[in-house]
Amino acid sequence: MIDPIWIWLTPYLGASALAILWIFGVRDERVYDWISVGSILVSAIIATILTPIVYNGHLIYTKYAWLPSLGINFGTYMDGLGAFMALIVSWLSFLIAVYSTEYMKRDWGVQRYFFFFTFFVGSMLLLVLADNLVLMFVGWEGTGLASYALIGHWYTDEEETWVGDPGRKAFGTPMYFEPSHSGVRAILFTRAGDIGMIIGMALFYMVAGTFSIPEISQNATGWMGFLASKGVLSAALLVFSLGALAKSAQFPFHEWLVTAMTGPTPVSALIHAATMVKAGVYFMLRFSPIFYNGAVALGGVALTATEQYFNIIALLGGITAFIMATMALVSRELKLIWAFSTASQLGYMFLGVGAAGLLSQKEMAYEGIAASAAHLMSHAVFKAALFLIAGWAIHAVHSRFIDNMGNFSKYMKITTVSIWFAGLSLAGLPPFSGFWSKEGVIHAAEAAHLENLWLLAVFTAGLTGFYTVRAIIRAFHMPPYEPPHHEAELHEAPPRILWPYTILAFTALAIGLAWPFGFGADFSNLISKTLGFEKPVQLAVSFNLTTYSIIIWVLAMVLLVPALYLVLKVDFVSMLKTSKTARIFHDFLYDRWYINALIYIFIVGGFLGIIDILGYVDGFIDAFYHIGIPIAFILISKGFRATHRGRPDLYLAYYAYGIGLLLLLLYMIWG
Amino acid sequence: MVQDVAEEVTILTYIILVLGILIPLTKPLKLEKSRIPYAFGWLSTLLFAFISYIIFNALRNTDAVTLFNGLVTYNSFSAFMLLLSALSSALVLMAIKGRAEEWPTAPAVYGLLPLIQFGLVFAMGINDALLLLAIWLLVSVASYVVIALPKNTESVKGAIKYAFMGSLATLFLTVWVALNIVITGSFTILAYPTGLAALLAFGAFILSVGFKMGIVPFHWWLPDVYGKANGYGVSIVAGIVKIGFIAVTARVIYFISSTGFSTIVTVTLASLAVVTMFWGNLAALTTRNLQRILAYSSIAHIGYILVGLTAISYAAGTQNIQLAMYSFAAVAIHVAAYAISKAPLFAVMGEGYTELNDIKGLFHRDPVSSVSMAILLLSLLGLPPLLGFWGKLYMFTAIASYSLPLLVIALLNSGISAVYYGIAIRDMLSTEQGSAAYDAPRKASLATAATIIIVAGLLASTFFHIIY
Repeated sequence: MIDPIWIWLTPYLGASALAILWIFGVRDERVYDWISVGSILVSAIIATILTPIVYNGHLIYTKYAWLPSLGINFGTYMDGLGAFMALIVSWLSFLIAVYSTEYMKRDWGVQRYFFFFTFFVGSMLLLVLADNLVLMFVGWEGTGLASYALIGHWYTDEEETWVGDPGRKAFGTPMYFEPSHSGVRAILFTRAGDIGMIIGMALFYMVAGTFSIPEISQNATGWMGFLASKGVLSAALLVFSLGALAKSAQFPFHEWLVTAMTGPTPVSALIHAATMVKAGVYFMLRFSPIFYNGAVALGGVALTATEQYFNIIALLGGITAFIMATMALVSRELKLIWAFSTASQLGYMFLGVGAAGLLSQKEMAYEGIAASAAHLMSHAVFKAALFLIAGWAIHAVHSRFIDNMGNFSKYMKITTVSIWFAGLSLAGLPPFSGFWSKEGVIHAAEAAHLENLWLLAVFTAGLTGFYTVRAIIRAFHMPPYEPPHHEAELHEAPPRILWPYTILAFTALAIGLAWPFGFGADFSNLISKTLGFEKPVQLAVSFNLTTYSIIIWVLAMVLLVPALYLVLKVDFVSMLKTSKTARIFHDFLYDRWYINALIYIFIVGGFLGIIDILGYVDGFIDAFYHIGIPIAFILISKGFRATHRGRPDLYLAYYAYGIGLLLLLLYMIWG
Repeated sequence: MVQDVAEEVTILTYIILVLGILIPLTKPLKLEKSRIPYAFGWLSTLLFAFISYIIFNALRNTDAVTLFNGLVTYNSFSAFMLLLSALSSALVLMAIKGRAEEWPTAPAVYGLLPLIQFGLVFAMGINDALLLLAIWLLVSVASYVVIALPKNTESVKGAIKYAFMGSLATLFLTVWVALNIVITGSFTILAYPTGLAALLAFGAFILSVGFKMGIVPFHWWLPDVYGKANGYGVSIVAGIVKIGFIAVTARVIYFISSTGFSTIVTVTLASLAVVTMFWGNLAALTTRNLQRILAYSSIAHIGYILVGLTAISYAAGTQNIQLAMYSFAAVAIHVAAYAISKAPLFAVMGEGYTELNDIKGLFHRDPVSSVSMAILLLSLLGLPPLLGFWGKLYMFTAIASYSLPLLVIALLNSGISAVYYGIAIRDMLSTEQGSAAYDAPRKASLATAATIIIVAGLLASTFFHIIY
């Protein structure tokens, strides 16, 4: 059997090779293409070979000593979830790497691009396969670093790489973002959450005495009971999960993901849609069964506290799903629509996990968690396809705005089919993959009696259908609002760009079609082999009245778009110009509920205020040392020297004072 | 054997006195501008050094050498201080070559130097109060005259102030001698009683030696004399005479504290040390005159030496002979560093380039002199591995067992002094050019002193253990 460590080590070795080649002056793009794509392909093949072993019920677990004193190993832990994630990450990375070799051709930073791309893949695979928190954190931060570097890939900040309308402001806060700014935003937003994660890790080590995830799972009743007895269990779990919430762009950390779209489009597809932003979801899938089992075993206070925690997770997920979907309704940038949609869909996954944690029946709880995992998979596939198509669309018209896109269906038939497959999967219509997984999540919310969140999720499903089809209709089936500024390249994409997204789009359909005929069962079987799953799960959608109602609601919203745009030909642009109400409503959504502005005004502004205050304090200290002390010394020095005026009569008087002082001193000591 | 040593020393001492008397005779013979007085000065200094050699030789077999019928007792500390004054005499002679002959008072300086050396032979190991008064008068008067010899206005003004204030100090020394005799009924300073009269006697002693050494607040004359009078005269007073007074003070303090008021003496010395260090170092910060910096730094160095004397007093009071010997050795090393640096530095001030602006860019014109001066200044600052570092290290180690705050204050003061020594060195490295230029004898004196400071610094612990 191949050691599973090679799954994450191979891309790391590939990245190291690229770095060494760079140092030795190798700049040939093809070398970088081959090493990057090759190392990722090797990794994907190994993951594929090993997965059946896990599927058949054998845990693959190898470890090599790293920091034995802390019990930290280079441990590769490949259970059901690990194998599943490794498959998704490695194969998607491979397809997108192939896409990148064409898309990034002749880019001025292509070597740097492939280094960070490959480094990212290694980190992401390490993250999902690590057996302990420290190693997982190394991968976690590695993905963050690569994300930062790739968001800011075009760090010279040309306007065509921005996100947002140049010059637009909300409450005085600029709503357009350059790549270098966006990179820093991404690292700061996620870092805020990571601080919580580090605190949580240290806390686990203190309380559970280990960083090892299997051991944390084994001792769950011990440390959870202890934290519950101190009344801090729900707070501790939430702090530990802050990193996941930030990484997966959940409200209120979602802002960084929106502006991460300054990166090259394949990066958006891989990191900011298909994989890295799923790290938070993976984290929840990894730990929620552990938390759940511990709470159920302990009962009482621990159970109440854990339910509190899952309630908060579900609430944040539901809110994020809704808020981000509303923003996608009005966005004019194709990548931005998909970015809003990504955060929204991640919200569904958090909602699923949160709801599952509230279910008292174990089978149903695991089923809810598995439904989130299924949604992770289907979203990864269709969203990667949508982003990759967006990349070609943007390239074709040299504009990120859908206003400049139009009538693509006349020039690119395969792409049109692909975007419809992927889009309908996102909309959650049967028989596409998105339907089954979204249905599972919504079902979990219903079973957990989260009526309000369930209603919100169903409503959002309709919005999802609307914004997805709006983007497709505007770009593919209507003439552009404004002709592109540059001469458009309106033809089918070259093969290395075309095939990856076509494959992904058809996969979305294939998974959906195969789901009720065994694929769902196979998937359930694999996920059942996950750490903490005490009972096998069987994901199945029962078609009842609710299911049909939801399908009809989504279908109605999907059909509403062509009705408005193509049949009724409603002129939204002039409507915005004439109606003030419409404009207020539009601006509220377009400026992202003003959340970015509020964060900048209160949080960033608050810190700037603190910096100002500290600046004054610093200035005072500086003045004290560099002005105050020298002046004091100069004055004392001059004062001393002023007594030496060369006058013997004065000297005599001073000497007499000296006699007096000496006598006084002697008298004091004598006494 | 010991008797032979006493005889040899007595004979040599009187030969020195004779030299001191003979040298002025060159004036009526019109030989005052010749090489003869200068050679006589060297002869006297060599004899002086030979005396310390004889005493050191004798000390190999015994702890103490008694001379002059018991009026004087030498131990390794006093012998080292004697050797040191011989060394600084040599450095002054090197530096002064060809200058004193040009003074209208020539060859007086070469006559006064043997007189001072004659007095120092007695002073270093003094046992008798009355003899101390006599030596005090001899050396003091010689010092006042030495300051006045170059006959420029500042020197004469300085000498007059020095003498005027000095008479007050002499008065207090007389009071001390008188009280001493009245209380003990003898002239010895080796035994010391307690009581109010004895306390007043101690006060009188501090008032007099405080004046001579420049302890704040009895130092008022010092910046005028050290800072303004001709440097050659100052180098004799600050580099040679002062060693004798430090030795006397250390000796007397030790006897007072071992028999009587150790607490009072220790606290008094510690208080004066703090005031003196701060005064000297802070006053030196703002002047742009190098000779005045050296004058104030002399006050600061007396402050450091007072720290060592405090340790001696404390050790004597607690009957800790080990610590006492350690402290004596520490003071000796520090005085060595002080005198070897200050004698040639003050001497070259006699060339008239007393402003910091004068020595600007000296490094580019005269690397030998400037590097030597920098080494001497850095030794005064206490930079390892130079001799000045070891003096401070040993003294500060000694004081640590008595008072940590005093140790911290002493370190703090060393830090403050880095500013003005640093400014002087920076100016020598400056690209601007001042006017200072030194010819061969001055260069030789500075370079010799710098070499001694480096070599002695490397061998410091050997010297320390000779005394300790």
